[in-house]
Amino acid sequence: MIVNDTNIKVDSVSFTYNNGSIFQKQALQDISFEINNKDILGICGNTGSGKSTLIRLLNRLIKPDSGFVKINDVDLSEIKDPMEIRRKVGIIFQYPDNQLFESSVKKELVYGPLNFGFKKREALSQARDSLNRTGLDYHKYKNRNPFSLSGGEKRKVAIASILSSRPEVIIFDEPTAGLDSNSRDNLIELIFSLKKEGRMIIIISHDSRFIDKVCDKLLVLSKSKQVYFGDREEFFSRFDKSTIDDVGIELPFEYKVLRADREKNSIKKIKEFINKKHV
Amino acid sequence: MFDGIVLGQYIPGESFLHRLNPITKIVFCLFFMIVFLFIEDIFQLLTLFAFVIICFFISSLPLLHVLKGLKTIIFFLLITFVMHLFFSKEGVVLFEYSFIVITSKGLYNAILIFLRIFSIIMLNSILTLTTMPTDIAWAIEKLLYPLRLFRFPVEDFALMLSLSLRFIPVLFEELNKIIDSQRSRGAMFDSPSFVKKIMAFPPILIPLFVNSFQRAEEIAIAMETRCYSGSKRTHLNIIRPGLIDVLFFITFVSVALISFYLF
Ligand SMILES: Nc1ncnc2c1ncn2[C@@H]1O[C@H](COP(=O)(O)OP(=O)(O)O)[C@@H](O)[C@H]1O
Ligand SMILES: [Mg+2]
Repeated sequence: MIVNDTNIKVDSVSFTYNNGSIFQKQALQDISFEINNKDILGICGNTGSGKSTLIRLLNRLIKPDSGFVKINDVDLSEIKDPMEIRRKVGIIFQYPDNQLFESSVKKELVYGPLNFGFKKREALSQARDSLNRTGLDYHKYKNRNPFSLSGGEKRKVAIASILSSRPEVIIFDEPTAGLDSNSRDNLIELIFSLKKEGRMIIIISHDSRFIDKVCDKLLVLSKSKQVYFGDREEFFSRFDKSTIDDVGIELPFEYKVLRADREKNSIKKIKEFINKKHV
Repeated sequence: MFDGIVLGQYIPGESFLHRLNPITKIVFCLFFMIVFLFIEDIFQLLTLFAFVIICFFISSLPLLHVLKGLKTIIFFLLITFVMHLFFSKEGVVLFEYSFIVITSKGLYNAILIFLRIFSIIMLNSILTLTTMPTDIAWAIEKLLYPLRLFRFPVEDFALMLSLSLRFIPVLFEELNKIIDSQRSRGAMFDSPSFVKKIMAFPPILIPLFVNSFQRAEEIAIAMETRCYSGSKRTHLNIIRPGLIDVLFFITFVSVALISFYLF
């Protein structure tokens, strides 16, 4: 259980890959937002809009060219040891295949905690709790070879291998891609229980229905620029429709109905207004 | 971590060398590589080196970028240069200070070796940087055609080659992602300790290999379901030699001949 508040502040951050070479590519331009652990943040945008780059900054896998990232008011670029940041901020990357390498699920789960200096006993008990939380039975799976698992099981092991380090901030990169609706519901439950413990949750996703269910705040990126930051509900119900289409977000059904109704109503009101004048 | 690698990276452009037929470029490269290996005269070498430099500028490739990408190779070349300089004891002594002795023969050999290898590397860089990997594979396939007489599976070989070339960038991208995943789980790849460096290999290499084997299997299945058979493969883009290829051929043969006559 985390008692204190966690907050992240990103201020006018820009980042360019391969700066100064001909393969130079600007991935983020002037991004600013602020979030705390009372709200779940969703990040949306087309592929290539800079979402993954942004979360790499939060883990100090890369450093911003300008602007700063602060966690609990401490500037990440001023922290000497990046391990300190990575222990606090866990990222669950999109493809479990890019991280699984140990010969057993158990070893895979304690890899992070041991790197971060947890004692072996602590690491093991955290590994057990984490795997059980994802819905896989630890005692059944601990000696299995990660490579022999199904896609869904691999993903759960990957999630547990991050949770086992007990990070304060947990970032999911496209967690729903390729999940059936049952596992999706389980994931949503897991996310809410993590939030209840006081952990900050950030989710990258294309899936607007998932975002609508889970997130409170929304950051929308398009072509490396920030298009929107604010309330999720506000975005879906009021934000300019053509821009939403441009960034490749499909409005959830309820909001389509809501918008259509509002339009009808306003047309009705205008008609009434005109009629009144003529009477 | 692996940013700035130039080797095998095509840089799009509109230059004369970009438009040249890949077969011409490969033959030219091979020919000059052999010539460079056999030349023993420094003036002949300098002429050809100048020609390589001219080619480089015609290609409008960014010099600094290419040199940056070659910096490791250049570093080893410089070591070779220094070794030759200090360890040759023949010829007239040019410079002497305690145990350091530089002789005329040593200097001559050092320059010769340096120019020779550097030219070959530059030639190859020009080839790979101005030619799309798929075009290189295509050209190699054409050049190997005669081997079919000896039942060498040229088409399969060419497909293997183009698939490998095609997946080099994918592999690097994946490598970056794997390194990120492990670093965010607390792996330290930049630790100065030797033991820690060795320990860092399995977390990177195992996912990389597993993914590559998986991909290879998927490609094999995809090819089989679409009835791949080596000998009946057709090409989407057919490249024909043009006037510029003929001109280029004439130029480089004459340059080679002239340099041999002159010296
Ligand atoms: N390691 C890298 N080197 C160079 N360019 C990169 C690298 N990673 C991403 N990019 C580029 O940066 C941009 C943003 O990428 P990314 O953050 O991965 O987007 P997203 O996650 O939204 O799909 C893209 O144009 C991508 O091609
Ligand atoms: Mg991404």
